[in-house]
Amino acid sequence: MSEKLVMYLDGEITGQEKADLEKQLGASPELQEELSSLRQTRAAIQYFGLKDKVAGVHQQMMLELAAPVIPISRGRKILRYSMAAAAAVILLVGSWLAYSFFSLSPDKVFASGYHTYELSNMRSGDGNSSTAIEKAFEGNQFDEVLKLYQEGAGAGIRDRFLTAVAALEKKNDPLAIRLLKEQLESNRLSSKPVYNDDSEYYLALGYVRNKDYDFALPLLQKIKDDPEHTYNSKVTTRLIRKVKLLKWR
Amino acid sequence: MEVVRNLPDEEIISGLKTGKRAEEMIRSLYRGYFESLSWYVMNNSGSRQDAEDIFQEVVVSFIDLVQKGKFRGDSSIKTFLYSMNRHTWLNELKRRGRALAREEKYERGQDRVEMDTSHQIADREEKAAIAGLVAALGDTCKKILTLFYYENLSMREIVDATDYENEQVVRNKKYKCLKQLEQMLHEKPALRESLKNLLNG
Repeated sequence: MSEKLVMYLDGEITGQEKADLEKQLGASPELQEELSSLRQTRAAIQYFGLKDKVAGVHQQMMLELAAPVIPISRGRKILRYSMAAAAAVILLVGSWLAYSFFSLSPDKVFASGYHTYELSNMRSGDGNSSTAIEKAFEGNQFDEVLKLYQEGAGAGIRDRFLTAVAALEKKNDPLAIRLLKEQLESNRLSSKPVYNDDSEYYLALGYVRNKDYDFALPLLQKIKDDPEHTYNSKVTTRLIRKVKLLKWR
Repeated sequence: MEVVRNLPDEEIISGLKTGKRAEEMIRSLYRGYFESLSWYVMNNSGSRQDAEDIFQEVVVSFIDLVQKGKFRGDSSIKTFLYSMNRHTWLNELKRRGRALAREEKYERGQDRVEMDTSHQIADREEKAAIAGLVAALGDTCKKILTLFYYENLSMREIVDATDYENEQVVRNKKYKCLKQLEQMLHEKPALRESLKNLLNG
């Protein structure tokens, strides 16, 4: 019977033979106990088999997981840190350039180079009495300057120049550009140019704010290349680069 | 270099249930969870060896549950293994009679899924004794019995895997080995009780 029970345990008995055995099992506590014992034995084998399999994998995995990290040579370390540092610098420079590029505006570039004209510069050695435009300019009444000029009050070279500066103050760039160009044209025809350096500089700034970069750049470059120019120190490489960036954008 | 990927829970469960690719699934459990679970043991009075032993035992218990269809998948494998690992290690600490102050301190504030796995984990010593009893059989008996009852190989396949002449010889040998082990178990009533628990889950 014992062999039959093992075959039953192994699922090798079928059909009528199986039905007969199960009938016997139902009627015999001894047989049930024997079958139970065989099942327990089988469970012990299965547990052992599982434990043995896991133990085998365990050994492999302990070797894999404990694999030493290959030390990096000093040279490679230096190379790695250098590359990281270079990448950081590139990132910083790139970010700065991107910020500079996108935050740049004609108004900002204009403001970085512009200053209100000092009237005292004009008077030195002049000797003439003040005109209405000059008085208004002195009092920072730029609207008044423009109004007086439109009414025909300003007839002289000096008034035209001050009106051009007042136009820049009031962001009337087309008017400023026109007046300053007239000024430079007059100087070109004159044997005694006046306010020439001032006019060139303010005209260049007017061009920048008016987005006439193709006119602004050669003028700025001319000032920068002329060490004798009054505004030479004001036209820096940085200023020209900004105007170029504006043009490319 | 082998590219190691994390297998999804469903694939691991399926692989363990069918027994196909079981070793690959076990390796996946080790790669995914050994480090973090061993960290728990080693940070609670355990050594590296303790961590390895506990993890190995947890994996065995987990696969046993999966193969018996008793892992319901209510939680992820990760959560389940963490819980089993904790229970197994705490039981071992208690057995060793060590103070659990550090453990209790660690446990406070831990947001964990409560699972009653204690009943699923029979006493470590008894389980070790069961495995030890089978291991005490001769190599031939161990091989035939595990190939048949654990690996589910047919008699023909076992003939191919051993030096025996034919299936009948293997069948006879298997019967004798089984009865030998059964007799050994008869002499250990306590182990039979443990096996009953193992069978009943």
